[in-house]
Amino acid sequence: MDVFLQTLANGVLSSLSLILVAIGLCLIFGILHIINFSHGEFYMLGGFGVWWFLEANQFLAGIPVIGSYIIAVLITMVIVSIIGIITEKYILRPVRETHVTLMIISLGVMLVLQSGALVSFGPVDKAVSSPFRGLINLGPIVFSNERLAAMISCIIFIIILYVIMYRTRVGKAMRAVAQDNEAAQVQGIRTGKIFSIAMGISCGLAAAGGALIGPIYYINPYIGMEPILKAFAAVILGGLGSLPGAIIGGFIIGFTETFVATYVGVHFALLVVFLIMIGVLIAKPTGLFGHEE
Amino acid sequence: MKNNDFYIRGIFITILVLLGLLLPLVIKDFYILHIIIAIMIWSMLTLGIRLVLTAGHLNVAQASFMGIGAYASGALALKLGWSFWVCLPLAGIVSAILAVVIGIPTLRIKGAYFVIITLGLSEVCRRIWMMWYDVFGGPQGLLGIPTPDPIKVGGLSIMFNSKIDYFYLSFVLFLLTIFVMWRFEKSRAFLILKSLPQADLLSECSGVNIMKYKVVAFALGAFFAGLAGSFWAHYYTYCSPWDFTLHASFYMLMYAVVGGTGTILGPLLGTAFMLSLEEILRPFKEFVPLILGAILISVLLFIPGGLISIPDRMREAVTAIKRRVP
Repeated sequence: MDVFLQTLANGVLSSLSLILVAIGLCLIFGILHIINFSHGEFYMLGGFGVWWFLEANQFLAGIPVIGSYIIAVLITMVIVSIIGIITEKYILRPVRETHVTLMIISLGVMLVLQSGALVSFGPVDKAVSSPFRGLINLGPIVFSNERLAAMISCIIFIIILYVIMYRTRVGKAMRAVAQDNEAAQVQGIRTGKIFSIAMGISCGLAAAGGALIGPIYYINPYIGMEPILKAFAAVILGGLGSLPGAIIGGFIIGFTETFVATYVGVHFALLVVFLIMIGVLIAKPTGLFGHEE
Repeated sequence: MKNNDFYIRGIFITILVLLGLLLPLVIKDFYILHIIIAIMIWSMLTLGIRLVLTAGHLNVAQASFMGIGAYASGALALKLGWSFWVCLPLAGIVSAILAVVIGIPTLRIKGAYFVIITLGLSEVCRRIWMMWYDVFGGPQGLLGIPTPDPIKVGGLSIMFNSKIDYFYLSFVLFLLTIFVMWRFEKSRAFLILKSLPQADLLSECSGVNIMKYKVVAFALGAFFAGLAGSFWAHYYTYCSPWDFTLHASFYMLMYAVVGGTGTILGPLLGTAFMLSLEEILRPFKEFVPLILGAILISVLLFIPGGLISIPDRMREAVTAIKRRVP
């Protein structure tokens, strides 16, 4: 029973971090209609950003540990968002008309960002010492403080995204563009600006994911690949372009992965995830909450 | 007139094939010979990608189909002791059957789903190879795959102990691929495939079973990928899960797109160009993917037709200038 509860708690963390990547992917797909292969690289850059601010350079040495960590995460998010916006505007948007070209060009972006990180940071695994030390006991569950902090931050980011999407004018405009680009344009919404904002938000979220989870494991130029594979699975499960779908898909994938890893074997986790995804797609091709375009 | 054209083209192709056959007599350097073999084998894969791309689908599991061929052939040869000449066609057939099984449910839907399914497939394949020690040898892969059995043609026997023998074998496979792709290009099926990105609904309403053609194209690409994989496994005498990753598929896609996917020649040119470039840039080590990625992005942004379309574009530019200056 204790193992079960512990696995459940770990599942919540891995689902939440996965959801951060998946909702960004989903947002981009809904608004720009891109399968953005380079999304995982923004996650990777997020991890490197925190490492760069806290370990490689002592920019924030004077500030208390937790404060400097929070500042590092926020600055990283802003920087990665700007990189994302520039990428979208000058590389992805010019070829928006043809979907296949768009996907291939995002592959090119992925290659460039990945090898760019390799060239500038080197291939060695980097570790970031976490500002949250110690363990916490919640009944039978043992949780490290850094995982708890990551979990809470993920929830905060998801709530912020929800508020932006459903309670503000910008969010309304984004949803309008997602529904019908041309009709939104006729209504006086500047679609170009909305594209930039959406790309900025989604890259910022991916960076936040990397910045929060990176210190728990390790950071190298190739860590972007696995989260994006899982995020694709989550987004597909939930139905492409549906934000609630991405969240539920993220939970399904996250829990499946942790439970299979605990009870069957670590190597089977991703395999089972993909088999589920392929199975769902064969049974219901549009995902659980999607609709045909 | 048309007949005349046909003969000229026939003579031209014959000369090219003869030149290809004579190539090992001229090039004594095994390193260059190896690169030429690699270009021919990778061309087989990029041509398959291009075929599915024509129908508007992105296949990012081509390396996995190559791997399926390589592992099928390697395991059969190693564990059951079957001859390479039996394994080679079998590898192609296994890949093709798998492509049909995967293609039927996934090619139904347009756009993103097929990409993600193939993405998932390549990861699933890699995990299976990594975990199934008994058959596929786990993370270190299959070691000591036997080289092809010698064949005797009259008094001449080909032993497969030098690069030159492998060159001829890959050349035959390469020509076979080109021939089949060229015949396919001339068929009605290809016209239908070409119509799909713009007007799949129209084609379907015209009474065309578009699914059939998509699956056939996918399976054909997978078949040649399987052949290429089988050759690769017996050429290197080993294969490991790390040879057939998602990255390899991305590279194949890149080669095809940089060359241009409009014609058969495009992927060939792209593969030859990019592989040679990779070899030339070897001293730059970790900068190579950066440069290749930058080339891919700039080709897609500035020359959407790929490298193969450069002569056409230049001709157009020249006529445009001529028109302006009477």
